[in-house]
Amino acid sequence: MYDETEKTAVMMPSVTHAMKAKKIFSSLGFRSDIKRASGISQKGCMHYIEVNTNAENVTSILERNNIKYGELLRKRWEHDD
Amino acid sequence: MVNFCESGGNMTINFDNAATTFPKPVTVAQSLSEAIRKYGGNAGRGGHTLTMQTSEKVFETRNAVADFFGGEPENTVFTLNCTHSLNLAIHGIMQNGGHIIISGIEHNSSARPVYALAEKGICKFSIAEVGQNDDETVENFRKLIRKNTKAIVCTIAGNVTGQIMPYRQLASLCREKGLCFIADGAQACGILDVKMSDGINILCTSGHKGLYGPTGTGILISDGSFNISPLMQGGTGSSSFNLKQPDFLPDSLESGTLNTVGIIALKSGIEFVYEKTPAKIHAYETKLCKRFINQLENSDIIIYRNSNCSYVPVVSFNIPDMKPEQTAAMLDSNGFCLRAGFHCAPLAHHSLGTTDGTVRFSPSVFNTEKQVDSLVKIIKNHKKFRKSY
Repeated sequence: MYDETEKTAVMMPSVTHAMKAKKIFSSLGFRSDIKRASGISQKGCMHYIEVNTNAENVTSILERNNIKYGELLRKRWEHDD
Repeated sequence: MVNFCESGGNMTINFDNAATTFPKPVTVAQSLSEAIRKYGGNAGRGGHTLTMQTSEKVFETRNAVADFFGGEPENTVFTLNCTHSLNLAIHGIMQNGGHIIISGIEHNSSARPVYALAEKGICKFSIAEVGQNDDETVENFRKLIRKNTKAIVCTIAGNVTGQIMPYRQLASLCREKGLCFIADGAQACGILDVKMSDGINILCTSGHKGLYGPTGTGILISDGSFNISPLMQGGTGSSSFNLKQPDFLPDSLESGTLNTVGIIALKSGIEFVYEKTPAKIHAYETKLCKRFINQLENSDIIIYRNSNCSYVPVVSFNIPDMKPEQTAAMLDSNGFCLRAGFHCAPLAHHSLGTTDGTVRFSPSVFNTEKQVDSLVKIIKNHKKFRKSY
């Protein structure tokens, strides 16, 4: 269903939005992690969610579920190695 | 589980569950204990393990509350109690002025914030009298709607007599007129199957009454269609570099550290109610109320009920020639806790004509028929007991 080589990180308005998103991604079979984004956003302390799929998937799932989200941080990661 | 607690060596039976349910389910006590031992992070603040684990637990409750009432977790706000929720809703909707209508049986938790706004000249308000039937009540609200009316605040069930108000019809009226419908669910949630899909725009309730959670827990759920301006500003753990308060729920209304321990335990209360179902809880407690009323039917006790109305399991009564406070003191000395007085709802007493107030009997799922019978026995024999009060 998803490409392991791709990860998308997207800023979330609040930890509540991030957790709702995580629950939905999990129900669809995507792995995701919620992380603190201090210093990344000009808005200050925020949370972002990192999902193992591409940006198009992430944003369409969030939109389909009416979950507010912020900017995409990175569209693609390489493997950690 | 039996409903008694040790009090100075005597057994005390609580029939004041409309104020706060007691005892609580064992699972709620266990969750409280676990929360204070394990979930010590500050939810939504920081990203370390403790805070993220606590945030997850808070979200689990938020999600459970949202599921229970048919709302969305991000539109579910944790407050301290129902009064806090109602203040947030009323001030948040009316802060720029306009006109608001409340019912003639509202608790002070609605009536006082409305009155305070009117006293400051911020808004105007009207009080809709409760009619002889639901249609008349709805018509009384309709007649009071003005061009600048913004909202209707109505309790789903009154806290003095337990009368169920026509809240679904009032929600329809609000939808028809483009008004915000703020519902006070303090006496109804957990007993009636209240859902946001009933047409409620903002549902305010407590966590510690019919949801069997700890005190210090309250809930506000918005359907997202009306902007609620925050009553207070502060730290939310989000957009922290911005001096402007976040404009999205739940953060906009949740400044400051949450009552995480209480919120985590509230989930166990909701699960308890969910498992039993509000319908069964309502049926059981109503059976206790009917038993109470039936046994007092041919006595001199005054029961404040109208055969045209529906009620949640709350019964207001008085013993002739005995002040409500005297009655409550007499019952207390015999091991029964019932509330007497005005129950923070002067408007309701004005409607009822109970100038000295009433005594309120409100059972929970933990009360038994035997306890009701013992209470009735004391009330029926009030002449024997009353002399010293």
